[in-house]
Amino acid sequence: VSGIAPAGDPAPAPLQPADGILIIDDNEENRYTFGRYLRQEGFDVHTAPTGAEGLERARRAPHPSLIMLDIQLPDTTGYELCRILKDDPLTASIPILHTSATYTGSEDRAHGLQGGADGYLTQPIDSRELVATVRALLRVRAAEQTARAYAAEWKAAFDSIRDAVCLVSPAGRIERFNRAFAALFPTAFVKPGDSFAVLASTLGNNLPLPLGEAQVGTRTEILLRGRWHRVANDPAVDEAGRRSGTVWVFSDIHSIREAERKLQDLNQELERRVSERTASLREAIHQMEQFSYTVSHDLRAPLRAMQGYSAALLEDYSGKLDEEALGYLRRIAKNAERLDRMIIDVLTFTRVSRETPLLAPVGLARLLSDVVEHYPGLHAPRVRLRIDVPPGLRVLAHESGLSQALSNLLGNAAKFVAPGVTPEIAVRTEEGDGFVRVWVEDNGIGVAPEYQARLFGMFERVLPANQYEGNGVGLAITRKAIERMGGRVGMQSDGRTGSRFWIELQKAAPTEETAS
Amino acid sequence: MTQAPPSSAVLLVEDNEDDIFLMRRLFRRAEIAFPLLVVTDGQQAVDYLAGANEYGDREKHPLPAVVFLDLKLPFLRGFDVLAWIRTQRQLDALKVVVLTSSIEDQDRERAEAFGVAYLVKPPQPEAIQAMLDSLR
Repeated sequence: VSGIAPAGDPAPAPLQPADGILIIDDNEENRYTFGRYLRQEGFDVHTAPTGAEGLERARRAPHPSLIMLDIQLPDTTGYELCRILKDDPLTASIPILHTSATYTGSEDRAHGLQGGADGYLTQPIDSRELVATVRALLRVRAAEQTARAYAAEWKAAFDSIRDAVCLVSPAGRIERFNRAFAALFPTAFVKPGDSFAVLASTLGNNLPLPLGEAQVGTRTEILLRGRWHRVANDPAVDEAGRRSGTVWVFSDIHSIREAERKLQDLNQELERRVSERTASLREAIHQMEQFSYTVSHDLRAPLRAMQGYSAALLEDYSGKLDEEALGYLRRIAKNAERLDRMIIDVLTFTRVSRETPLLAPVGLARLLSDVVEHYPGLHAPRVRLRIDVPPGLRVLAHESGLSQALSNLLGNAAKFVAPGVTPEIAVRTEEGDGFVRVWVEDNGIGVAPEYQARLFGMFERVLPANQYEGNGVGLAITRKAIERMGGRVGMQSDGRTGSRFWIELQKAAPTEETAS
Repeated sequence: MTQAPPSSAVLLVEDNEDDIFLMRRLFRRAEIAFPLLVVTDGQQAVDYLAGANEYGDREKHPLPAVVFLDLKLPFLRGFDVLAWIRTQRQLDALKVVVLTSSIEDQDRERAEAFGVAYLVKPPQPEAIQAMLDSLR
């Protein structure tokens, strides 16, 4: 059997690594000629003159990429050998190209292809046709291998998903599923085509699965063999957007549920603790109130007696006492009075601290004139006072608290001046975005910057007691009262040229007569 | 000291000895002619005003025109006494003045709710005099 057409064009660069071609042919000339053409094209060619030798070579790794198989062999037929090769998993994927003598008819061709061959060439074989056919078969093989690799990759990925995933056809039959899904049914062998509903009935879940078509797209949580699972069933759609079935996903959410339960327990514990603390705080506040009530009544009683008796002594026995004794007596009276003042101030501070003031619009100009009117120490000629506040300007405040705060600031401004200096006090306002700042500026002795931080603390005095009256509670009350109204207080001073105190509160709508 | 009619007596309900002494002294120095009667707890105050027990003799224990009432008292407290007085029709004309050391708003507001005057200790002679003058 011979007759080879002349060679064709030079070959493109060989594939890497070179594909191995096995030629099984009893005709030595054929083996030589085919082999030469293919080698020229860069293929790695092996040859075998008999079926037995060829089979042995095909089964040995590295397996050939393609086998050229002569139909007529001394020990067997090409058809028979082809069947053997295709039945063997080791060689099943190797493309087989049958070659035969000219006299074989189309029946033989059909016979060969039906037997599993991938191509059929009849002599005389043109070298270009041979190479092109071999290349075409190798391309198909490469495409098949790629597809198989993709499929394997997807299968591996699908099986790596810890959630159990299952695709069910519109008819309710299982189409595909991953390993985790199969593992949901330790006693059943799950296979494609099984009824999903029948299989699901063996799960032993505590709640029914949403199997109805109307329930597609729902989420259910069920208990499976002691562990909570979240079940999602979503519509599956194909590339054209058509409904192609339902995807079921079973996720083990047991540890999440556990964590949630623990969180819930912790929250409950926290709530319990908070309410316990709240109760003990309420108790403490109640005791504090009881205490201040007691202070107000019982502690002031002996003090009042001291004041009363020293007054009685001064009134009834002043003729019998010398000036020194009278001096001592006046000191007793004065100290009793100071202590009483302190107690009253501390009570005021605690009251201001615990009360939540109801805020209402308060007209600043009116309030300031009320304060000045009730405070003789602010009247001319003792004090030069200038109030520059727009009529109708209102702030959100608790009126009596703000009144007390402004009295304190004005009183301090009038009090803390150098001896012989007439206090000059200016009150003005500054309007910001939603707030009003009231400035109280004086020509007093000021407060050095290093002491300013202490100024608004309880019982803080930054001046020697023998020069200026006061117990250091006034500004603490001022700050507390303003802060309870949601405002702020502050001051500026260089310690020489007076002080500038300020109170900042939320602005309220102006009164109507000045809204123009 | 001028003679006052029995109905012009003043009843002081006060448990603090010093406050009693200083009130007596205030009456003496201000030359207030009204007799000053004293009981030292709330129950006594109720008994006195009701004429009960040892206070049955109105010759010896005349019904007062004014009561100066301390709030913090043993047994019945000031507001208990006040509440009881409000239930007694025969005491409708009785003038009650709360005289207390409390500067708590809650006490002042409660007294105002009873419609009675509120004085903070120590009592000033002018204030006491003004209260008594308003009876005339």
